[in-house]
Parts: sequence; structure tokens; C-alpha cells
Amino acid sequence: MPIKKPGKALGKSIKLKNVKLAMGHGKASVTADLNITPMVDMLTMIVVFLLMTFSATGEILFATKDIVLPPAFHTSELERAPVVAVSKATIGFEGQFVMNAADVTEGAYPDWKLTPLYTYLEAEREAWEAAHAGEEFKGDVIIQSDSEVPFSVLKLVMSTCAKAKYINTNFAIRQIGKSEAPLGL
Amino acid sequence: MSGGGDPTPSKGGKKSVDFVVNLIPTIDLMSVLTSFLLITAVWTQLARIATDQAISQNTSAPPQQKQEKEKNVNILLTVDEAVMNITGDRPPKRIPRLPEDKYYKEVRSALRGLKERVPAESPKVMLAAEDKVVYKSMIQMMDICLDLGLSAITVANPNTMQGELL
Repeated sequence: MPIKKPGKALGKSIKLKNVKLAMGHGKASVTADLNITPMVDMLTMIVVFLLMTFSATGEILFATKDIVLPPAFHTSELERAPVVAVSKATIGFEGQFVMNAADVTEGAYPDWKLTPLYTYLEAEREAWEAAHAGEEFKGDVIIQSDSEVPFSVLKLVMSTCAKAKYINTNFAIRQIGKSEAPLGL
Repeated sequence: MSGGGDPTPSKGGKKSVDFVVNLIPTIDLMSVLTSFLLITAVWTQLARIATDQAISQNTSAPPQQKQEKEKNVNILLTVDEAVMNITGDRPPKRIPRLPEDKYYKEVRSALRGLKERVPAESPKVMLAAEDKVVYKSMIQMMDICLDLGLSAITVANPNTMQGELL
């Protein structure tokens, strides 16, 4: 029996040559398959969640740090209307500063008409009427007020709105679920 | 390679019944959608409570005109209590400010009782508050009214309501 030079072997009886043949062509592959199923699952869930929470009305009001809206459960969807923002310190109209809230007292405005705010409201109404000739002015206004603003300020703001023919008052609130409502609803 | 997919390679010349779907366009679409929705997401849900108002003495708002003849539910909020009645009824019901949960239960119960006594199917609510009452209290009262089906809410002149209730 001739003597053979031993080759590389995995074990005593398994030649490495056979293993290589079973595995492929003997060369390690440079490509690797990535399992993308969990990634697609995750993306699908994120898209569904984001679609459910999507709201097209968020841009009507601009959240500011000095106005904390009160929570409420029974609400309607926001519609575009002029926004009067009332914080404890200032009163604004459509994002512009109008006057200091500290100056708003019944004594300072005995006719319940806040002249600076009235000027803005009237200008807005006139612009609307010029753009919508022949249409009836609905008089919608949104009051975006801080939770802790007293009614003494709000009543003068509302009265000013009424004098400028904005009689449909919409109070901006933060919508909550029934479980969060503290009123036993 | 098209977007549909490719049959897996087969052995022995037989066509495989397996079919590999090309997921790359799906992932692209999902990524674009995710980015768009994340950028446009609004995390605080804002909404509104719609009311009429009869707060100005000179306003031409319609709710004030028929008020004297109609039977409305009148509510006046003060710092210490909530006073309420049906137009013309004396004495009004007074609910003192209790700890929040108890107070709102009492208010709900009283309002439900008043609503049942008003002949109109959807009676109007005239709501006013004293000067020191904060906006949050008014909104909470409106929320209770809406929960009881009292959806026609008018914010009234507090001076008028004091004459009606106090």
C-alpha cells in the first residue's frame, strides 16, 4: 500500500475537502442576507400610529409657553378664525402683541371696549369683507386663553369682540380623554 | 429586475412555487411616510367649545332678545359657589365650592335636575362668572353642560345674571 501524504481533515474520517463541497464552492461568501421583516413590521406600526394621531388643525393655534389651555372632554374640531390670545401678562391678536393684560380693568375701559384690540379686530373684519364681497360675515373668533386668566379680563375681551361684530365665540381648549376628565363625566 | 419579485432558483429544471416579494419599494415608502408624519405630527390635541355671547350691553347678539320669555338654565359662578336656577325660579340652588370631585358631582346632579324641569328639548344655558373666577372654572362648567346635552351655551353679562340669581 503506497504511502499518501495526509491532507487537511476536519476529523479523523471527514476530509475537509468534502465539507467544502457540501458548503458551496469553497470560498466564503462576501454577501449576507439581512432579515428585514422586523424592520417592515416596525415601520408599519409607526406609520399606523402616526396616521391615527395626525391632525390637520394643529396649525390654527400656536402654542406659547405663557398660555396653558384648560382641558375639556366635549369639544368640536377647530376651524379657521381670527385668534385672540390672552395670557396673564399680554393680549395678542393673530400672533401679534396688542396690549398688556395688566392694563385691562373695568375702570380703565368703562365702555368695555379695549380700543387697541378693537382696532385689530375691525381691520381683520374689513379685510374679510373686502375679500368676500356679498357674503355674510359670520363673526367667528377663537379665544385662546390661559387657564388662570380671570373673567374680569375675559369679559372685556369678549365685549370688545362683540362690539367688532365677532359674536360667535369659540374657546380654545386642550382635548382630553374621558378617563382624564376630572369632572366624573 | 422588476419590482414584483423573482422566483427562487430551482434545482433540476423545475420551476419553484416560492416567490420572493421585493420589499425595497415598501420600505422606501414607509420611510418617506414616517418622516413626513413625524415632521407634521401634533402632539397636543387642540379643540374648541363654541358658545354665543350676550356679554356686551350694546351688542346686537340675538340670544339676548328672547331671553325674558324663555325658560333658560342660568348659572353664575362665584369664587365660593355656583348659583343656578331656571329663569324665574326662586330661590336659586347654591352649591358651595367643595373639593373638586365632590363639587362637580353636586353641580352635575343639580344641573340634571334643572334640565329635566325645563320644557324645551334643548334648553339654553346662560353662563356668567364673577370677576375673580378663572377661565378654567368656566370651561369645566361648560364641559359638564355639554356632557348633559345642554349644548346651547351663552356667556352672559354677569351684571344681568346677578340680577336674575342673587
